[in-house]
Amino acid sequence: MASIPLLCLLGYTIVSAIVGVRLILRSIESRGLPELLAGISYVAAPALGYPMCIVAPMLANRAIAVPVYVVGEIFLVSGCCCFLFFTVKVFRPGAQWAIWGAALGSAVLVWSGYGITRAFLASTNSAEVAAMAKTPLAAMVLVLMLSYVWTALEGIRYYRMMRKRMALGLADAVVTNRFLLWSFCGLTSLSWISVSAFFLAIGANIGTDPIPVTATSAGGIVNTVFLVLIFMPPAAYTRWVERSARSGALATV
Amino acid sequence: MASSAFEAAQGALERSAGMERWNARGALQLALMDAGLEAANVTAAQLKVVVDRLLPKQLQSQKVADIPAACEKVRDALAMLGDDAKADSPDRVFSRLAG
Repeated sequence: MASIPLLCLLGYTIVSAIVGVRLILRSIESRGLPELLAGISYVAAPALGYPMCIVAPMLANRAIAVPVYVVGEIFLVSGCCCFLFFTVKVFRPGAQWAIWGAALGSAVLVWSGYGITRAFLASTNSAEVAAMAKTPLAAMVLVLMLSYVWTALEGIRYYRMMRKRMALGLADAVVTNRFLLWSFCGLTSLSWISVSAFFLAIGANIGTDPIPVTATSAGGIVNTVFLVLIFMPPAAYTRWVERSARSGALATV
Repeated sequence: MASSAFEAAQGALERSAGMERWNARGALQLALMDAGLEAANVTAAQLKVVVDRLLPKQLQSQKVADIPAACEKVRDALAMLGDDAKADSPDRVFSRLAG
């Protein structure tokens, strides 16, 4: 029987794939770069890259495991880079510091991906791979933490602005709520990756230790809920948000 | 960089209220801040609401003599602009994400 953490991650993978494909299709219609970046980000990282990197070390046949891992790592890094540039394009389109920050973050992610892949190719012993990949993995985790802090801050900043607009009748309640959910998404990812970072720092194996595995899977399931509410909100939820806004309850969320 | 609507409103404010460039810009920026809007992507339609609801308070603190007339001139300047909602803003992107 599949374990609960694995099922949580499977749910997150499937929902990310659906959300990502929908966003890519939408970007074709709207010719919008943000939709394309977000779409590629969700398809490449949580839907393809992450599961491929988890599955590859479990494969007995090295001839299959190696290409699966290499392609998975490329997807994972590409998705994370697109996520950084989505934040720039949407929230800080003209800011040089943001463009350079995303470029630097992407460079570190590419270097980390290369380092982690090299470690996987160098040995079949998981302890040796973990030891060799420790520095690049730590760099990747740090960049991801910073990117989620950025996501959460931009989301909450814009949510506060949208609330002021709502008071003047200049903003839609559902779109306003979407910014709050976006910041929650960032905070959730930050929480689970912080747990992983801590366990990485104390020398634990974050792929097998039950605490980081549980934190990652719990974060995955919470983020699944947020992704659904942001990108595919059920009519009942939309009605609830609109009703709450009319009664002024959203202001207290 | 400010949007064309913001530049137009600022120009009209300078001329009609006899304000210095940076005073006019500051008054508009503070009104936008109260409205949760940004100079970079504010549209003429959004600015009209700001002029009606929030700008008078800022002009009062700047000791502008004829506030209704100054606001009227800004509204006229904004009315001459077309639809300037061409640039993407976070709210426009987020409204498309689940559309």
